[in-house]
Amino acid sequence: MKTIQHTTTFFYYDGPQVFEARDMIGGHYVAVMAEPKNGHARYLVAGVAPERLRQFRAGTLDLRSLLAEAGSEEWYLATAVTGLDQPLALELQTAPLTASGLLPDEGFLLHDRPAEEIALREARERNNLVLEIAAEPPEAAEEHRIRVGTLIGLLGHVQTMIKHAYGAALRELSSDNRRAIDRTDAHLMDVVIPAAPGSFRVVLEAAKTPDLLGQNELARALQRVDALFENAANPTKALATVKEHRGHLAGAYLRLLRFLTQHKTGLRYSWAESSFAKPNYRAVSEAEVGPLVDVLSGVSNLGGESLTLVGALEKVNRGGGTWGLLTEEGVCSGKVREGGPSLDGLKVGGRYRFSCVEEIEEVEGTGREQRTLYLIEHEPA
Amino acid sequence: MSYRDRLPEGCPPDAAEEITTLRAVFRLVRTDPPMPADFLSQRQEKPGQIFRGVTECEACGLSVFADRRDAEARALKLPSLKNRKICRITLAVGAGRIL
Repeated sequence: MKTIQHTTTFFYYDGPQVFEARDMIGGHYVAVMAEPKNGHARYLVAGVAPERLRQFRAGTLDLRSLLAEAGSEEWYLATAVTGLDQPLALELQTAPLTASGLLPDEGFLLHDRPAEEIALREARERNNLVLEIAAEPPEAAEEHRIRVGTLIGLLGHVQTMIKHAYGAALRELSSDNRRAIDRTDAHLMDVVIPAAPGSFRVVLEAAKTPDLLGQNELARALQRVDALFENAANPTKALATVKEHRGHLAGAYLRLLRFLTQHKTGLRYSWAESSFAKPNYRAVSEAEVGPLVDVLSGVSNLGGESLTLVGALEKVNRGGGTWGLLTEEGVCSGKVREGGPSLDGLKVGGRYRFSCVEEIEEVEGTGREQRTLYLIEHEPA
Repeated sequence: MSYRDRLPEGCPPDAAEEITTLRAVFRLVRTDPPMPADFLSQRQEKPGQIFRGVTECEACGLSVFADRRDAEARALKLPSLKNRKICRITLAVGAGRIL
């Protein structure tokens, strides 16, 4: 018997009412809830062509037309006895679908108006969070061109900034909620359109699928990024905002701005989820980047993040100013800055509380981050 | 805040907004006037059911529409909901949280 697996919920009301599913060989299906049978949710299911599914997701094709067209050849009923994370067995129906009384009424569209903006259009068609970034380096002035290093660096810096914004957003959640969602170091976004038409534009999609309500956890991160770019044209206001986000996110933002300066480009981006009426848009022009970098560079320790470690001292090099502390998460190693606290008197094996600042520096040319812990203060634990 | 039913840990999520002013929402009900059975969560309707694909928190919640037009333009066109009626509910301060 043919089976399908739920992949995406399109419409949720006291349970998934309309959803997309795939069969074992990747065929696309759309299911719509019918009246329950013996207390179990029952769905009308029809296989759909990818292009018609795309139109439905984009809000340009209504559900009845999609199902009636697909179901004119074959349609099925499926009963969700155990739930939607298990494969649903399809029962082939022989009566014409249009006479079944199970079709939705005309006019069910996923969205009220068509999306003109690329980020929103892609978010709807992919039913996921989408971020579009656009840069205009000198080489893109005459033709659709960008240097490999610029593209790699741009994507790396943007992804890193989002990673730290996500980490900062997660730290504000309760531990229960934090445990239930994705980790900060998880893979966050994929490039899905490497060179969209127009100025040099790249479209990325969240690697993780949204929840049943169509919301992606990454939206928390992008809201923080929006806050950083909000006052890009006003360095004084921008400084106040960036100070509120002091830490790795602010550091990543400053590194991105420095990168833009070096490559003589501004940056525009917009992002959307499928439920948005319009995308969120922010930009910093090439002319605005320089003054911003100047102002932000004047703040010491903008990218440092305070951290307290408790554990047994595993190693100490008083001459070199380095140390290692065995904490519950493993051994954390760090340094002492010139003029920092003395390591004299610390005993290997003793338990200490180390107050530190963690700083991140980019490894030149690789886009990789190097984390360093600097000891600020120590006391017996 | 305490809730009518026992909710799983971390439910409602932090992102859910507390009702701090009177707020109108719309729910689809089976009868006019609506009955208590119209306001049962999936969990209350099927206490023993495993709602795979739906989190326990979602199963303990009630779906409502912020805008009546959404109920008319979409939900009432679906086969399992088309016979329902739209009920306007005014949520009082302290009624809970909404996502």
